[in-house]
Amino acid sequence: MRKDLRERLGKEWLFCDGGMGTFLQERGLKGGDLPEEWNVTHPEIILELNKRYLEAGVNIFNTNTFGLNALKFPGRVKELATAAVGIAKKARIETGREDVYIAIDVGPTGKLLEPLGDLSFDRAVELFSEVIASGAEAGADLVLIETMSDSYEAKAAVLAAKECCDLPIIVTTIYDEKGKLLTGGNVDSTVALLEGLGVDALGINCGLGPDKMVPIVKRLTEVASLPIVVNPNAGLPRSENGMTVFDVGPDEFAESMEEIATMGVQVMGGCCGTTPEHIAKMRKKVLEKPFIENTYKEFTVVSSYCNAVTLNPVDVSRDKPVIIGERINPTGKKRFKQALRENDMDYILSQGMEQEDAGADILDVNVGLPEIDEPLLMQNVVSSLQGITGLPLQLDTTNIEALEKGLRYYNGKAMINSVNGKEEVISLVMPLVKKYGGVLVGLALDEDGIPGTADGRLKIAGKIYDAAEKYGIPRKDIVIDGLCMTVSSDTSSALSTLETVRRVREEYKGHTILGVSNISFGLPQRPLVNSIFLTMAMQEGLSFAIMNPNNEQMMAAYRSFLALSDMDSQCMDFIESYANYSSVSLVGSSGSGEKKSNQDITSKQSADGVDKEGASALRNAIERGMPAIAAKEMEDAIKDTDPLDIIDAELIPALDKVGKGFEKGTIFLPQLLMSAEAAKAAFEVVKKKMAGKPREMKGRIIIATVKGDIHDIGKNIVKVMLENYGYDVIDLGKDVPPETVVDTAVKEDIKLIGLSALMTTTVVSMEETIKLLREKKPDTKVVVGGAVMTQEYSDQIGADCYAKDAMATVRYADSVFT
Amino acid sequence: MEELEIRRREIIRYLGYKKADDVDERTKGIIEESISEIMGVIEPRYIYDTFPIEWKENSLSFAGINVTSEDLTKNLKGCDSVVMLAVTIGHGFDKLIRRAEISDMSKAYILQATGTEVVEAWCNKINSLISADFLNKGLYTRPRFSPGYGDLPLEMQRDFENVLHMRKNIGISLSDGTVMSPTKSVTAVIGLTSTPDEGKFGDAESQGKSGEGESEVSAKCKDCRISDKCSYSDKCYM
Repeated sequence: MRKDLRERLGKEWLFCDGGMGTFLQERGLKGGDLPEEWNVTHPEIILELNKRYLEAGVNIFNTNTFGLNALKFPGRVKELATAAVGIAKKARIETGREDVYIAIDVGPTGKLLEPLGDLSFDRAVELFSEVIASGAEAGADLVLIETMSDSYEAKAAVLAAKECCDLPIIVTTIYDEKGKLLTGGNVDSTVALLEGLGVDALGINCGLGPDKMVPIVKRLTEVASLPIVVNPNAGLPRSENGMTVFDVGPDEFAESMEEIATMGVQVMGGCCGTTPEHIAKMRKKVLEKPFIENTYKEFTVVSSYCNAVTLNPVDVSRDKPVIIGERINPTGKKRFKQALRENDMDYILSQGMEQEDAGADILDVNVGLPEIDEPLLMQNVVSSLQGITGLPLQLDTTNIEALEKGLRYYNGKAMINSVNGKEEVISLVMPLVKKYGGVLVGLALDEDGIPGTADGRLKIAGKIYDAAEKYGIPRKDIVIDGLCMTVSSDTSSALSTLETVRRVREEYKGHTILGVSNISFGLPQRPLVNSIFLTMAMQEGLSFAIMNPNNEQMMAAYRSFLALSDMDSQCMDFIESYANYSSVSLVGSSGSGEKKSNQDITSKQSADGVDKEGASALRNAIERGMPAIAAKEMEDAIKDTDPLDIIDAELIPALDKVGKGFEKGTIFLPQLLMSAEAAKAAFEVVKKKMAGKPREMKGRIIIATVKGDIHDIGKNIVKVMLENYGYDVIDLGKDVPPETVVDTAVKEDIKLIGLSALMTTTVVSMEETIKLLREKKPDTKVVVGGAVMTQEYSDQIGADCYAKDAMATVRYADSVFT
Repeated sequence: MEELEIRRREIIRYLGYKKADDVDERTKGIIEESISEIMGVIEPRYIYDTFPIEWKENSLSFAGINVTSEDLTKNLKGCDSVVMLAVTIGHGFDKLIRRAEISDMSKAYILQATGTEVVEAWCNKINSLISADFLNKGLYTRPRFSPGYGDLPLEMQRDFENVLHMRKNIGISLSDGTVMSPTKSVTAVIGLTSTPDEGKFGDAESQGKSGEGESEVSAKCKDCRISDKCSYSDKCYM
């Protein structure tokens, strides 16, 4: 009766149905009505709609469930999904089209996922699972996830489908005219994500008419390996007498689709504005065109929510090696370890941004410390990082739960470091990579240890490739790590590594990766050795280099190599980077060779403070808001003076002077903040020196933006000021429920809470929070602030203090904690 | 992207300065930097539709929305129809803020103020296009009025979503608390009348133009609950 869809998908022309909005509007659906209701109130009309499309010759048609989810239809999802599938089945029987496939139609939830919106990823998966499971149970043949404008939401829907049923999955996303998703994804990044997740077909629907989709379809055919689905609108919508009309008629639509049919797509249909007539005419024209199967693409692709990093297969071309920034890693870094223990997300994120600015293409993320909850931290770091950077991430962990969390919440197709030749590790890591997709790094070691020769390592590489095939991971998604052992203990080790890199490329046609810095462990002038080794490895065809992009020498070697290898068009990048540069010292003064910010370090500016004593230069730098100079002055000062003395004698008075100026109205908020940033930079220097030895805090304060409100810049400004003045701030974030605030206060025994609200509607949440607090922890004081807050409101809701700005909050905190 | 009229004066005001002279050179520089960064990432979009107003005894309704706000009623007095408008500058701006907050709060603060003016400038531009369009049809536009002004509740954002389908058309989503994402988005009601109003409301083009110097607390401000903190009294159309 019906062949398994997977046997036909991509092997012959298949047609989807078209729009339903106009059809329903003509039969009485008003703007604001929810069409899914009609599955029970007007089933005969839905039946009619379904039948018309079946008669038009489609192979796949949708249930009337596009907007069906628990947010819009609480408690009724199963009922309506079952009704919709029931109608579809009836339509199939009544038209004698038992060969047709019923798709449970899944559209967006209508809410944006965190961090842009307030819907959690887990909740999104739950919502999708409900409708998909109901549809599958009722007898749908496939899941059609469509009109997704956010790759993260698409991922949630796909995972829901994979985890609650075995049906084939088709995903089409809505692109704008420039080929971008609403939340930033492009064709390359979206295809990487979806193919990694193992859907059965993918493509584009809605948003545009067929003609405007052509460039996007072209890109799809260039990068996608799965069958391609194209469901355009009937042109662009227009408002006419309160109704939405579309301008492209059936004949014009059919002609445009006929053109697209020659591009190498496999499934075609329509979206808004199309009718059974559009579909029938299109089908007739398209069937006259020869069916072209899509080709398998051999690219190795890693992606973020908005960007794909793509490498050609090694036998097609030699691409520019990819830089993976290694700094998000606690190994050997006291300051970073401290940040992990303190959950100092800002520090971790700033390391990410710094590497991005320095030229990293991918960021390695390693948050493994024995005493912390690595899976939770991995989830949080991944979620936070992808909110501020478009660089793809490499999940670097030996903790399987942490790897799973990272993979699940990652918005894109990640790189995974790592698997190796050990059976146990293979059996734990590979299934995860198969489920979530990703490019997997395989270390050339196994139960017997690290082979001393290239031969030994290549053998293990072979083992890893074979295992990947067994687990269903495509060969192009495996990258071999040739392992860098230090030359100081084995002088032939660099040669073995280089040989391994060359031969993986030649014999396995595979990509390679190296953690370059290990080669010089134990030697002096490590950056010198590392940068030359990097060059040698790139010469052997290294694909990915894990290194510190902040290191001048490494980047100099990298850029020079590109320029010399015809990988830098007209040497533009090299010239741009070095035209105005003062000479790069090859004999570095500091082991880490960290790049100094070029902000403010000009002789003119430091001359202003240089005629006074060093300590006053610090005060000067803070008052003028110069972070780089403040940091430098602090570094000099702590050489012979106790940091705490300097903080008390110079830093705090400087901040106070600026603070008073702000309160008086001679200094304004931007300057206050610049001074705060300068003070923060100086404190950072102290933190680094004293890593592991906590600074004595004046007190601990909770701050939060209350439930319903996501404005937080004011709160963040208060946080910076409070921290500068010596308070340990527990920032609960935004949209925080009263219970969370109060529970934290009780658990941590906090004496002062700062609440922020910027909307009139959320003052209520503030009131609730205070009420709950008085019940559960009456000895805690509450200070409130925010644009909408006034003294009267503050009194009304029972707060202890109304702070009209950040300085007022600091003053109040001082009064509470003395 | 077509030129937007970005008023530095407005940005300075959002930053909390009373007079343009108070602004130091460095902050001015960062403002210019912010403008250019934001213009590099904006994806401006808009959508609007027009509806007849049904006037009743003590209330009015349009597009199926019952309006009980006294302030909006006053703003729309004498109008036969309204435009419902939604505009946004896209998610790129929000990412800039998130990044800046990590390491440079002063920059984040200045970006925030600049972004507010950029979306206002975009909204002004679309507002002008709409006004010009309707002028050709013999209709005059009232100054735009947004949810959150006066007693017009923020919950009205839900009506904008139901009527304009902002999510699908231009990518504006609402949180549970009716906060819009992207954050730099504006929704507004613009009244249409066939009689030009002289002096009482001013025209759409003058909307947002502020006088030089200090703002005074005028008569209409004395009953307003936030007048002691407000710097917009000279452009408030209550």
